Amino acid sequence: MRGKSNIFTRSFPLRLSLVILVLVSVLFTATIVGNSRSARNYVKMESIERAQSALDNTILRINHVLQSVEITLHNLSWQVVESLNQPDKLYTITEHIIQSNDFISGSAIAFVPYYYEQEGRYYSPYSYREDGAIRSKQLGSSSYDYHTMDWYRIPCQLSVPYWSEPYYDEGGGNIIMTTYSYPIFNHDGSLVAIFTADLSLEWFAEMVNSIKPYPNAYNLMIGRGGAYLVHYNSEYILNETLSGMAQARGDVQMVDTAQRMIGGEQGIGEFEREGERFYLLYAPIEATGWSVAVACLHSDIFAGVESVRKYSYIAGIICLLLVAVICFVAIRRMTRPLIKIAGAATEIANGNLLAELPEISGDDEMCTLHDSFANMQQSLLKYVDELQLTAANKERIESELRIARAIQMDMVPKVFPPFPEREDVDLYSQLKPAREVGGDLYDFFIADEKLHFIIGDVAGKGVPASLVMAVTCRLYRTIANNVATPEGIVSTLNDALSESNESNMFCTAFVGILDLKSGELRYCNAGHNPPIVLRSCGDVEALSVVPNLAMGIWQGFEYRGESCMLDGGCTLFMYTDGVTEAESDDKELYGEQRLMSVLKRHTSSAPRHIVDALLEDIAEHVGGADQTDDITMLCCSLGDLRDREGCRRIVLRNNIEEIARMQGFIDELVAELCLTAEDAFNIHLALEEAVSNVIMYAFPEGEQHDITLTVRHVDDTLIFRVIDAGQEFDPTLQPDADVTLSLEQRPIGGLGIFLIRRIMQRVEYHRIDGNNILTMVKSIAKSDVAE
Amino acid sequence: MAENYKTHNIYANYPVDALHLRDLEGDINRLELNLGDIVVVDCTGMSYICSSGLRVFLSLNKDITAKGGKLIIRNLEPLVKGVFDMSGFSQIFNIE
Repeated sequence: MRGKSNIFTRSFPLRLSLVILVLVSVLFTATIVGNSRSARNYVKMESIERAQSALDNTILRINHVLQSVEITLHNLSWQVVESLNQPDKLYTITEHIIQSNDFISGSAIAFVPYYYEQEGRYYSPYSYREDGAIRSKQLGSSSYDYHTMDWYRIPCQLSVPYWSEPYYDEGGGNIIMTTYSYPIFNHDGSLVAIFTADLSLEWFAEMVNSIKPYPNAYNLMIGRGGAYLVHYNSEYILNETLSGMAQARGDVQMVDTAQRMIGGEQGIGEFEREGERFYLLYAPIEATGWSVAVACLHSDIFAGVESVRKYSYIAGIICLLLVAVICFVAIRRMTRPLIKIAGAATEIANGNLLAELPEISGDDEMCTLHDSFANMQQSLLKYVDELQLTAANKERIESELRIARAIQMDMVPKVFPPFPEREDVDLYSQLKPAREVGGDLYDFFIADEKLHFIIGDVAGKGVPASLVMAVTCRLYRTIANNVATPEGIVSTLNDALSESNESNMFCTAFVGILDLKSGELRYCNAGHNPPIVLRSCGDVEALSVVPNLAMGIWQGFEYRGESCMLDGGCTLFMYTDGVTEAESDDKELYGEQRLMSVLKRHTSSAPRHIVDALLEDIAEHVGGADQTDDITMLCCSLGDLRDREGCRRIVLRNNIEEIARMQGFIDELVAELCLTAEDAFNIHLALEEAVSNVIMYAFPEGEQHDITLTVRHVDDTLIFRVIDAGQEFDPTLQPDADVTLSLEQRPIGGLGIFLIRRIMQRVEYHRIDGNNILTMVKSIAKSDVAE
Repeated sequence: MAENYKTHNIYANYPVDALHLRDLEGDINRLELNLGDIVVVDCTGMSYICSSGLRVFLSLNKDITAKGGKLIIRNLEPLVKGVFDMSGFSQIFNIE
């Protein structure tokens, strides 16, 4: 019950407190998680908005500057057209541009080749800032072939203003810059020059890097081809592309973001680098096709939320512990009466039924429990008194039953072997009542060389059956000593039992008298299971019996007796139905088939072995089930009868094939007595005549009967007897065949008995107890008889 | 006896008891007897004969004789011959 006993299973308050603690913890955690999730979402939105506005602001400023450059060039373009005739004046224009716009670091008017014949192929007035002053020079030369440069070539071809991709201008500004190129057309509408303004990339970087929504945020700007224009790592600038870097890292999401940026889209991307997550907000600069982006660190954005969460957890855990302690103390106080009542209950259980229950104040469930216990205490006191009385009664009855059992067991023979001095008969029996006493009985004794025995089963079991059993047992002893036949014994028993049998008890029985000299068994069956005959040859079969009627039912019933001959070595097995009806756990009966199969294996065993083997087999069948009925077995085996009487015996069936067995039997006799061939021949002939006659004519067709042939050797004569219970027939009354008749007059039959008479010295016939007994005596040649 | 009468041979070399009676009856039933036929039963090896066997021989003898034929029994064992003597059959059978 208390296999895993520990402090948690033993203490109810502690357990309940724990349950509450767990429930509150779950609710609390769910709340914190929910809260922090929504807080994160809110903070995320807020931060994106913040970064976006900073970005937008910067882009606005950049656009403003770019536009101012565009406008400046546009506004001065007419002056260039007007001054085409005065090439030297062009320097003033470029100088003026630098003066008028602080963002512009340099300005050039790059003419198409040979525009001024005298100037040659290259002519490009150029002004720039140096050390705070504005200087001018002619930029074009064979070493600075501006006609091949993007800022000149592309607007020439497109004939529209153009912002070049940033480039390192060697020979020009000697810095990384971008150039705004404005094509100039003369009055004829043909292109004459490209008017440019240079913007330093340094300047862009300053502006872009001014976006600083979070301490760890950083910025970048990429060109139309994705090349870094602004990056905190200056080595990347113009040397690496954003998508190239992302591809190298295998960051598919970032590659996609880079493409969106190049495509001029605005949006938010996410990427991870060195274990840190970043948001990347990006927006295009429409005029140049560049894209500006700000990367914000996750942990920066959510730092506040995380710290709030941490403090929430600490506060929550403290609260939970407080709740648990309070719960534990409160529940403990409330359940204190339970412990007291439990103590009282233990005391009651230990036998002190008068133990005092604790006082409980109030009107709650504890009070109800207290009252119930008080009630139980009263009931227990009453019940225990009754129980003591009942137990005393039961004890008395049990002791009486034990005595009754001892008396019953004394009524049946139980010393085995019962006749140790005899070799011709061995007996063993077992009686196992299902309860203390039972209704099975058996008894046996030898009187006048006859074994008397009975096996019986009184209907029912227990005390009533045992009383009838006792009466039957005692009556049998008295009657069997005075009545000579089994049917007489059974009839007398039946009359005695039927008399004043108000309770209609009855008893089945098998009563037998076995002549130990001849092997003749006379028996009477009163509704009992037929005994089983085990022959030494291995045959096992039930004795054929007339069922008659159980004793005690019908006073004056006429019981029919029967008889049979048992060979030496035969075993007679008797039992009560407790054997065949022994039930297994599955309510399966032991059955006659199983009984027969065990007996078949033991045809040559001693009675004790047979009974023991059966008891063992029955126990195996029954398993753990209760014994349902009394079990009794009585087993009796006959020794070699010849040993006592000098008498050989064979029991034959009324079947002509049995002649072969008889011939074997005679051959054995001949061999043992060393008879002459002539005697042997004649004995064969005479016995075959006698026995085949019985086989063929004594019994109705189809019925099975036994024919017993006995041979006794006395001095120099052999006495043969053929015994059968067939139709009465006295062969000695048949007239002798007339051997003097001629062939034609000779009748076909009548030879058999004639031959018997010629061979045997004496032939006698008797009819006794329904048996034909033909006795034949033959003298044998004395000199040949063996000792 | 005329030359053209048929002679049948039976070799009854088994004991004629209740169990082997059928063998003898079978051997005899296989004969196709015509008027005047001669049947010779050679009894070498017949160690035993019972009264039923004698009856079979008697019936056969009557049957053949009625048809004008002849039954000859040969080589009877001494003990079997004793039975023939005992039953008076020696006088009514042709035993060689």
